[in-house]
Amino acid sequence: MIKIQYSPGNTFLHKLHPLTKLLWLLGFSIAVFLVQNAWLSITITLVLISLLFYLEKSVLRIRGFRLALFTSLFLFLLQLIFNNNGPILLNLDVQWLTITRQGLSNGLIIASRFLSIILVSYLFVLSTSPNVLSYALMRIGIPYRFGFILITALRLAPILEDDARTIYRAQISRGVNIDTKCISKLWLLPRQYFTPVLVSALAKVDALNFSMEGRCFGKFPNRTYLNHAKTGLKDIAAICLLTILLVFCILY
Amino acid sequence: MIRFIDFTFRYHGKNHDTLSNINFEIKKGEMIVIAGPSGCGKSTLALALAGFLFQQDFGLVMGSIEFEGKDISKIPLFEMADKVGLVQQNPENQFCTLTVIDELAFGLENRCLPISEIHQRTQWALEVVDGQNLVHREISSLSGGEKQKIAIASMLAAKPEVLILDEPTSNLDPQASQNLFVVIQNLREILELTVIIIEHKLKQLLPYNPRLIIMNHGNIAEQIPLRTYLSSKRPRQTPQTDAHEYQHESLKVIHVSDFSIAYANKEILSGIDLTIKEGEFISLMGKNGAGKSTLLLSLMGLLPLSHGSITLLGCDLKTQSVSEIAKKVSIVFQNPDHQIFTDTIWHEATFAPHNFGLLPSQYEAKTQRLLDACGLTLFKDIHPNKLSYGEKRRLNLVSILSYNPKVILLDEILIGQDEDNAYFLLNLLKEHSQCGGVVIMAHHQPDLVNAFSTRTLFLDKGRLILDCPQALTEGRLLELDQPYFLAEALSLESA
Repeated sequence: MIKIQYSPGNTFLHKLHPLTKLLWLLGFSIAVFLVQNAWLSITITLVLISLLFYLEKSVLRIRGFRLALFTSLFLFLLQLIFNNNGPILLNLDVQWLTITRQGLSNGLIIASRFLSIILVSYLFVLSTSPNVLSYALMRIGIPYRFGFILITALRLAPILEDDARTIYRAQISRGVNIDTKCISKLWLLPRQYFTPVLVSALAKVDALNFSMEGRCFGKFPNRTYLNHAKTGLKDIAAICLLTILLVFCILY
Repeated sequence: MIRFIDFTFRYHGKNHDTLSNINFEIKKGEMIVIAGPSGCGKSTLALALAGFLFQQDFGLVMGSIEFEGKDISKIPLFEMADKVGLVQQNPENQFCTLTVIDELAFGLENRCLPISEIHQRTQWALEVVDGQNLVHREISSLSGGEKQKIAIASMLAAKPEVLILDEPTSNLDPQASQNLFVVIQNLREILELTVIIIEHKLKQLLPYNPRLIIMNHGNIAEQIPLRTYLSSKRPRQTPQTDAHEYQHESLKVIHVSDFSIAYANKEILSGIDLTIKEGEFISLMGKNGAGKSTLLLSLMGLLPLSHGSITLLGCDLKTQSVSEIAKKVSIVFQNPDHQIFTDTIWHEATFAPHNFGLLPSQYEAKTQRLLDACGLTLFKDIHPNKLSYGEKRRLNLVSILSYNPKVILLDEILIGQDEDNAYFLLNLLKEHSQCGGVVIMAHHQPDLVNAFSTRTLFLDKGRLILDCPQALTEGRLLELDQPYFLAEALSLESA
């Protein structure tokens, strides 16, 4: 399974400025709800699937993707069966199994809408480094103290994960039976496990605190930034495209 | 430049002074090494020098520290940050960002310096630590030595006058430590920087002949040049290995055949063949990342093998659950805080035998004896977190030895331990092997361990390139061109 996280690459999606992608994510989510035409909706979904394929060849191995496919299929079937408005397309001589034009088109729209939102989020997450994104957000005015919450969390998460693994190993090697059936012992497990995890996390936070303050973090209300993500023609083009799409969706 | 005047400090909630009556002076451009048993106040001294102790109400201060004539407690922290850079013990814990360039720029960005100057200074700092090739890397991809270089460079970028390094080599192999000391020496020559190093591995610093300050119980016990100190030191009584060696007909305990292990399609260990018998004390060496920890974890049955097999006392490891294996094999990890789970020392010491369902008569007497030997009996009912780092380490060993597993695996447990405590731990382990147990110890300190071990394994890039009795190790290591792993390598170099 491929984890849903940033995977470094060199595609045009990777090269877009993270804020352009964030705008696309937001704008697109609105556009998808404005679309009332089944064909347009399906076209958008197909474009997104091919983009995802371009980013990651083994699309089906991305965690959660198959579930999303099944859910959208389910949504489609629900509409198809239970929405009986509009001209009848197919009548199977069973009262509840009448397929109507509106049921079909609603089903297609809702299913592809759902899938589009999932897909566009995948595209965003897979191609955007959270580090670069937080720096970009700080540069446009998000207070840097908040920006660094995300960055230090990203920094500490794998370290704490490692520690937790070591603690788990240390416990089972000293005979802690994690799969115990005995309820009277069960309540001890979280305490025995989380105390060392907490102790080690607090020590890390202390060290980080000294390290940040020792380098003047918080000295001024603002800080400068060594240049990070650059904007280019691609970004202007992408934003124009988004505007056209939004206008198009509103008009049709 | 810096002067401690009757400086005394007591943390809130403690009933003794962590630092008491410290008086000494540091001149500009000097190199000072601070040594002493764990818990003697070295790290607190470093925090005081960098100005951190006075920012929050950590404890009670008496006396003063003067920096160029000004009282440090009156200088704002941000101003101190321009003068003193503190590199803490584990570089891993002090990085605030995810990439090398962000990390170097972090302090400068916070100071709102113009971009052009940030560029210039980060470049300069990388050059000084000889790390230009690391500029585009992510921090998570760096090796231990590279991380330490970046941690130092990120402090240097602010151009401090004093650099304090708290056990900079504790996580490094001997070769990487040596490289780091060369970098530090260069700093002094190029920048005329005042360098204060807290360090246990004194031999490696000998070529630079720094002033040595030995601390004990918060006091300064001695102040002499390192060379004088090392030459006046009497050699330690080491166990007479041959006389007390385990003499019975040795039983095969572990047999590893053609074993490989891969993680995320990357081979970490490959083609390992090994037979270990009762009574062996094995010293496991190799550079950082050579696969030492992986080997230990797989002997404990904690990692799935990709090829080959491991047999423990005649049974295949694969057929046993980890809790069954744990009765015969035990592992101690590097950080003592990761392996303390209960709320009193006695419970901690008897935690494992209790879990394994042993009868109190089987372990109580032995545990008591071990606690006595470790000087922990008096604290039997207090919380383990109140112990010093070195005492926690002893407790870790007691809690393993109390149920007498056949095999004890140790992953770099000597890190941060002063020489006395290290010898104490090694003696305990030696006793275990002499009673027919097996000890396998991964470490970077041949100068301490060689006197105890009976056999050396040396890993290089996942392959076992050396497996020989201790007596032949030195010669074979020279043949393999690994001079840094010789016990006497550093003192020879300086002589």
